[in-house]
Amino acid sequence: MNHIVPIIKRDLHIYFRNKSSILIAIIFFLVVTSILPIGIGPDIKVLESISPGLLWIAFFLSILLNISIVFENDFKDGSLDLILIESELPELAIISKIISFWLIVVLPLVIFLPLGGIILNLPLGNIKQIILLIIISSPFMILIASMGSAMALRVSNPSLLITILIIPFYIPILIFGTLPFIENDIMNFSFSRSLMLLTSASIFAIVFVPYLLIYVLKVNSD
Amino acid sequence: MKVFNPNRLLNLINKFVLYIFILGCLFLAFGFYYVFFISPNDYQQGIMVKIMYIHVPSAWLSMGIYTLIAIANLLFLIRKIPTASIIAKASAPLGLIFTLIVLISGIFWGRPMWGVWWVWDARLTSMLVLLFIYLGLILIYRMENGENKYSKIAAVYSILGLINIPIIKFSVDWWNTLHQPASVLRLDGPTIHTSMLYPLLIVFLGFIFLFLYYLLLSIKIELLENKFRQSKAN
Repeated sequence: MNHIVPIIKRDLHIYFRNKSSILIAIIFFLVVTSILPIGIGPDIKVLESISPGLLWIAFFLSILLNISIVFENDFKDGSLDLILIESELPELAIISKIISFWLIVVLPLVIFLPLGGIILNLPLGNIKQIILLIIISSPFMILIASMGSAMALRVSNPSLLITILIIPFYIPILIFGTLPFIENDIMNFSFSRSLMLLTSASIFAIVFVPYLLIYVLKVNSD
Repeated sequence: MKVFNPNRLLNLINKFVLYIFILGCLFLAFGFYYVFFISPNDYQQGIMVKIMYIHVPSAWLSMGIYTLIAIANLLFLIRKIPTASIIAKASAPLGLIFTLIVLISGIFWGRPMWGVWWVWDARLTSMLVLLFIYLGLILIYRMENGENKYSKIAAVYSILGLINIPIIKFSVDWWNTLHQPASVLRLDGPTIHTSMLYPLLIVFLGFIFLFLYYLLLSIKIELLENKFRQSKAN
């Protein structure tokens, strides 16, 4: 605990000093969710059938286009190198940086998810289930996305590159996250099954990704 | 591990590359002769079955090349062999080309057989994911300017992407898909008739030799570029 808490406190302090970085993810999410129905047309039936996927994709994009702030500032002012060298357990330090990102970007997004669901005309019963799935799979999403941001640390405009690199790994999540809400006769994919699959993906990511992250960060920072 | 010495590798390439090209051409010529003049048409698909002889070998190769890239990169990360990274870097665009061949030939087969150009079933989707992973990998390799920083990052990325290969292989068994299940690489032996299996394997051998030919050429280019860079730095 005394490895994790100080770093989270420091990160939250830095994030709160520059509030636009918190607000921009929420505003982006709301703008994307409100522009999708305009492009598709106002037909409520059509919107109802595709809104789970749209909600997931809007969520993905607002994470992927913001994930570069996890390591960017610390990399630029050199404190990332210090964390990697000085800390006894760099894995814990990196995990606490990711936890603070979760608190500052993903938690507000989750709070605004019901509003996004209402904009996209999602049935009220499904909103709860989708939010649960998104919360459960968010550790996987953030860890994999921060892999992308660690890989693209030295690139001048990293967001697009991160999106291209990470989208292939999000496709399984998107498939299992939307299957319970799509009517298909071939597979009766229940909600609990996809909940279990996404939970296992998150646990897998929590166990293995921090080591790879440390490796990539060390390669990039020397 | 002596093969990984750059100069020795260059000598080997110069010695064998022509023979490999000739072997590949011979296998392909004989294979396509077999396909078009000896092997029968399918009783349901008719002449369209001939697309299979391009589609299936390039599918095997695209997955095999990805596995090769991941193994070479593992060697690079664990044993610190720089030449292994060069092999991986040279194979990535070739794997991309074979993946494109699979998808495009599948599209032209699917239109008359299934009635649609493209369906979102498990096999096709996972193959598309492989295409995206190849694209990401090549993007990372393109970022480097003589630094080996990005080849390490690309190595990590390729090992992460390896999880997709078993998904492609078993996607037809795990899910009910429109794509037909495996008929050659099965535990209980192939279910495809020998009059179609033999030409398929011959064409596959030809594809392998052609891949090796282009792989050796691009490894040679990479090695020579490295030498040039070193001599400029000195």
